[in-house]
Amino acid sequence: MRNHSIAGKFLVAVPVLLLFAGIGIFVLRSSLVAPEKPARATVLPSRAPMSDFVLVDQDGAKFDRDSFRGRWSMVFFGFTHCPDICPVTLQQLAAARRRMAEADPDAVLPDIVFVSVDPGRDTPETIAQYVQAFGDEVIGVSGDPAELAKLARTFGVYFSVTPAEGDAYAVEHSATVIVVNDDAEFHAVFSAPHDVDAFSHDMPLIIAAK
Amino acid sequence: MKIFALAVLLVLAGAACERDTGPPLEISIATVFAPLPGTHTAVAYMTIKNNTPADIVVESISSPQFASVMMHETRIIDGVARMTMLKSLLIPAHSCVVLEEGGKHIMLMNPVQAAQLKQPVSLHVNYAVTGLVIVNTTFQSRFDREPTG
Repeated sequence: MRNHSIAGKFLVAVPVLLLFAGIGIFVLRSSLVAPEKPARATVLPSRAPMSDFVLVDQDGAKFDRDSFRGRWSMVFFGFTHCPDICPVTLQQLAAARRRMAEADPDAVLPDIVFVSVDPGRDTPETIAQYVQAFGDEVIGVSGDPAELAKLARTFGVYFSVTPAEGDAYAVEHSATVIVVNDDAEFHAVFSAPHDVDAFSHDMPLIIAAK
Repeated sequence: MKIFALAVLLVLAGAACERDTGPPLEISIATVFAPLPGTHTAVAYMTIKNNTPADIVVESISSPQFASVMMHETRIIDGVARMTMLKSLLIPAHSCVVLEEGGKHIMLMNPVQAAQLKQPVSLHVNYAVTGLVIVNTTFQSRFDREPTG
């Protein structure tokens, strides 16, 4: 009789102990596992406010610091006559944005801002046709070289336009993609070479962590 | 699907480079992307295979459809994209050189008439001393497939 009582208590105690042990392990793991971090993007330790600048978008409207407010943006500097890295990067950004929308229909999706450093050839009309090919969410801007330089300086972006023979140009530009947050602050940067997976993986994490 | 398509491309590229028969200079997987709206610049990518025991130098590439054609290479140096013009392109003996996005490519400027998708386009690959390979293909849209990378 006494043996039966001990066995009965044991049968009750073991599941209860296992239950508490399981809860303990779950709580411990939850407190130890750090939130997932961006794999490729570098998030600035302190957000950098943007300096004033005034450019023109593809519709001929003013595009300045306030144009970045209220939405996240991924900014790429290039030029429309660039045959290789510019269209490839814009296509990667557009594909990443589509992938983010598919993964989470409620996701905050960044705009894609293409900044042409070649205003001599890239008129608003030219830029409008060009960016439209990549999707409605792509904004194209350009303007006075001095104003372009102000924006580039904010992001630590380098560009150089050197006339060559005929109508040829030697254009060099940083290949980084700049992330601007919805407070119009320089928030993060993706270094080249780029890929769609890195953009679509990191951007939701960057936005969620703000 | 994307991975499958990439795998097929890699297999084709690999197969193109492994075979060692055929003409001295063999060109495969040639793709010409039509100029994007608002621009007058197209780009071509391809794999060039040297089937001979001696190095071959591609001296120039031209196209009847474009006023100007240049061989270029995109290089990312310290985060800055620099597009360098290549005066020639060395194809080592029994080797392949792949012209691809973000690397070596052919820039085609100023089409002699509007470049339309699916319309024929020719590339004349001139190599030392008197060699010529003519590649006939059609203009493609870069939006017909997912971006690389």
